[in-house]
Amino acid sequence: MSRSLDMDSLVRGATFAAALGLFFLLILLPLASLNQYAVREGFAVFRDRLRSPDAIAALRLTGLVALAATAVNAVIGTAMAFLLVRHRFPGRKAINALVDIPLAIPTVVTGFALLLMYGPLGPVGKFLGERNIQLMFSFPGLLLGHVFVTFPFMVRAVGAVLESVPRSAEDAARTLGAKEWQVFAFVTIPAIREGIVAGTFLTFSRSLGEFGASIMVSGNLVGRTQTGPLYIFSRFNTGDVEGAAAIAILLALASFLILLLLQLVQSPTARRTA
Amino acid sequence: MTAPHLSLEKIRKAFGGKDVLDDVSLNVETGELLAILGPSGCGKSTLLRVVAGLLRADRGTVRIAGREMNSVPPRDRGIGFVFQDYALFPKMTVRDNIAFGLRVRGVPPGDRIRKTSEMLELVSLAEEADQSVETLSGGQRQRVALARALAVSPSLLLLDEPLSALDIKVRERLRREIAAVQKKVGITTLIVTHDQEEAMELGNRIAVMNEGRFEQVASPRDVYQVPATEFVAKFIGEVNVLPGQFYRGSAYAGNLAIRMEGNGIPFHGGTVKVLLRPEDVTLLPPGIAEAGQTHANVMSVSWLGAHLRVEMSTEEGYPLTALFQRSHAMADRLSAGDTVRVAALRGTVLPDPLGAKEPEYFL
Repeated sequence: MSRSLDMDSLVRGATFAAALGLFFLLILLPLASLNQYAVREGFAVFRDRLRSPDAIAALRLTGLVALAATAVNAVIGTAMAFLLVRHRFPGRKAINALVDIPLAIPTVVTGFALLLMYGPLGPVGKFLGERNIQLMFSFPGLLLGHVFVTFPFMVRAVGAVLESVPRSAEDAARTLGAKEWQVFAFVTIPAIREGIVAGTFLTFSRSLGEFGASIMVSGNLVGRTQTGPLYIFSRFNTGDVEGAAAIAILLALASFLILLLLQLVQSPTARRTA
Repeated sequence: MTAPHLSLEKIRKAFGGKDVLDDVSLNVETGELLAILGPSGCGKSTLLRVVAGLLRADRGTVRIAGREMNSVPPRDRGIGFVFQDYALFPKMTVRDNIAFGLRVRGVPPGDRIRKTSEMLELVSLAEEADQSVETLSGGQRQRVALARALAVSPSLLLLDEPLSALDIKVRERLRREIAAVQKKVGITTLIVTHDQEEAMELGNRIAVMNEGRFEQVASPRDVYQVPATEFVAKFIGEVNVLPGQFYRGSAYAGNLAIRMEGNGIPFHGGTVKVLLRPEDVTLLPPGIAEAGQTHANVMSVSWLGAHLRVEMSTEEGYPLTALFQRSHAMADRLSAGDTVRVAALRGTVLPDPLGAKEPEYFL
């Protein structure tokens, strides 16, 4: 009996070791080499690369687009979660499946599709172009791409929490004298707060790293529509490995901090009640 | 006589083509505690939600204190509602939960604090006032819910299975507390339950509901002793249902004569259903049956503590259950296979339109 127990713990130990080993090989080592390349030419060069106007513009744009996409999805993603969880209507299952489409199709395809629709040759793009509104190769186009790609995160994060929230607390508030906006503000929103926080962080962090859709819809205009990941790609292509690595390190660090923060704000008590 | 505080007129509600409430009418007097009793799915919770305005009836009228409420939202109906799952606001303290209604109604802070403290005292939770409701036991949570509902001084208290999520000991204690609080506040109350004991103990009157209709609305004594339908008799307590005949003012199940409970039997003869409570079946030592008695064969005897339960088969072939005191003279001697004489103390008779036309066992 103790033998089989020993076998069990051996197998368990080996599995954990394999998981840690792969984590090390696939995630930590590449990140470490990023670090190595970033400071290969000395810290002065690293700082210099970060201070380049194009790099700063790219980082600023990345932050702005991520903030805007998060804000938009916080509203429409939450609304979609309510629609899917709280209402029964024909086609609900189809819409429910379609929400995850951005996760399933390559983001380049997303960008391509947006370009065909809203680009200068697309039906909507042509209509808008005649009125001097250009969606593609500009901030709105970029935002559109990011909103599309990150859409499922907010819907799923809020939807999962919303499903476990009983309706009776809202009914109780109604009988106690609350108007509908008070029910929503004082009862519903606090109940799904964790979902909104998680969705916000995931959306923001996903948006920081968005590449495929961005490169299609932005036109990759240096200093204007070039986001951080596009900047990294361009720098690498022109042989500036240090410049690419410097920004890459910064973006990786930002993503890590955001996800770490998410872990910290989801306190144990908050997760227990969810 | 004053007008009823709550008046329901022909409330109808259907879900997906199925009638959940089928022309339900009810009056609840001021200060009364009325229990709506019925099996799950009978429509009782739906009715309570219609009264509260959380659901809209397809037809019918809800009146509270004489005012028609059909298009009045829940917040303006002057009601307090207590839910089965407590429905507390999880991230708030006990005090904030109780003060919620006063806060959203814009009651000034001074009055709010005073009223909240008063409610905390009423349900004996003053010491837990600043704890999160998530630290409380089920019984305490339901007391918070009760205090929260009463804090806004409603004129009508609606309790939807308030005790059924609790374990039995807590349930019995809280049942008494609810009764005491209701009496102290003097508020007209409607409680929905599937627990007959709860309904009997709490209700001034009981409305027994089945398949979207009231089968009987009467005092706890009457629903037990003079059930209006077979459903009521079976749902509240245990009952023997025997085929019988009504003849010259008496009812007979075979040879067994039944003294009728209540007066005014609405029929003069023919096939009836005899409803006989097990404790109203009298067992006598074997011997020659007198008029109105019959013989029965004992199938099984079970000891239930203070009572014995005896399953029998009468000579007419009817199964019959009797319940009698441990101190009964025959208690120690009785065993399966014995023959006994049986008499009935009292019973209820219902018309049986589907019964046999001709008496099968009749002397």
